[in-house]
Amino acid sequence: MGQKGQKQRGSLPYIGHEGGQTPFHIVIPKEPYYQGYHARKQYPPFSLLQLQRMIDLGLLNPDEPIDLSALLRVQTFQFKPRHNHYGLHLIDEGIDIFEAQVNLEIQWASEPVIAAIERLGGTITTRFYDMECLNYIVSPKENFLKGKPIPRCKLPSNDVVKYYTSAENRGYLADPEKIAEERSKLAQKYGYELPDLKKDPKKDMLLKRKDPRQIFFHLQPGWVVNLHDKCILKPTDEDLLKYYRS
Amino acid sequence: MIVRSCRLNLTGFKPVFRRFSSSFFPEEEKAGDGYIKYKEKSVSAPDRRWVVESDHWKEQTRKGFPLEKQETLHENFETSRNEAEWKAVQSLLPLKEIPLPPKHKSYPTPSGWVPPSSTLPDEKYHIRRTRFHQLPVYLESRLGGWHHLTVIRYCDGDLWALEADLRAEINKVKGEEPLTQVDEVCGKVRLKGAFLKEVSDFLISKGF
Repeated sequence: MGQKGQKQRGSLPYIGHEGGQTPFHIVIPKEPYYQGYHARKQYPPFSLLQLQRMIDLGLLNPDEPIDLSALLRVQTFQFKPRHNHYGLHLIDEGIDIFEAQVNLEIQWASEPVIAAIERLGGTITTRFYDMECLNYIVSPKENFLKGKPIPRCKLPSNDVVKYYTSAENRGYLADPEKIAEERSKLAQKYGYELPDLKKDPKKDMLLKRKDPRQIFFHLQPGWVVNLHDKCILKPTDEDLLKYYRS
Repeated sequence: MIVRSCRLNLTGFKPVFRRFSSSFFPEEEKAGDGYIKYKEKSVSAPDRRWVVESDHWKEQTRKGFPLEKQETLHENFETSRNEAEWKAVQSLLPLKEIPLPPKHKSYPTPSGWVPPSSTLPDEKYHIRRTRFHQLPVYLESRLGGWHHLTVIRYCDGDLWALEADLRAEINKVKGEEPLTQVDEVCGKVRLKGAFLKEVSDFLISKGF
């Protein structure tokens, strides 16, 4: 420590003191990269290559609509709602080799990905699920066994309302007429001929959509599935029906 | 001051006495037999009527029904045994078995998948596919992503012959022999460097 100095008496200026000049940690503005990180919605990537591989191996049936529960059912990748995973982000890896004609429902997709699917005569919608529904979709069997009724899906939260109501992103709350417009616009932009959906033999499958409040095809919110007796219990209480109505 | 450490007030249970500050269990009473009895607290469910109809996001929750109504909500129901609905339920349940891949007209498939050859390859070693019918070739990273290792799992037989073949193959393609590690106990062979493409092409050419 030495003798008879500032160091011995502990009267040194604080670390970072610049002799009266404003220190650099005050001059430089903050860049809050992680502000609100705990509450941000996460969309883990899922590529077109993975999708094509799953179809090639017979794990997915392209003759039926493919949604989140169909993808998670195969259990080839991890998806954890408790890590704020709000769905899958379809990325453009394998965009050149993609060949399947599908009716896909995904949570996040970019413009070239949408074009790649529509060029082959397929359809794509982006769809929001709230946390309660995601927890139900991830493990439907356990939730059926618990006797939980199928939840009613909430509408998208304020930060993603714009995304899911715009026809450019093929949002599930967008106007279908505007989506048809955007489909032809995108075909012109990327320079491909848009296949006519009306003449397609798979037309019914390709245009199959869920209700905004519905999370499974053919099953309505509020129903309780009994796996033991192989039957479905449907509520008849008027208040409950009113609550589950979309 | 002495209070019981166990919160449950079980009769006939001899409690362990420990020292705590007086504020730890404020509502206590000493009974005649030396046991401490706790006053029964009145429990009331919080009234969570924070739902506002004008805000579309804060919707009505199922807890929003009054308590008397909640008990009778699920008394009235009808059971349905519809085949189409039950088929939809079954399509949600997790796969019990991984299906065999369908037969394609030509290989490789659009995603680049090739089946293993129908006859066993004439080699001293064997490498089996994963349960999803893919090649067991993986990338490992060390030192926070600075170093890469290529790992071949599910190897069987003479691993040293496999290692020699892999080294020769990488030398042929890249012009440099990689460092290798043979793990006979776990049936793994590691190569230093990222050679996923080279290794998987080599395995496919052998017919694994």
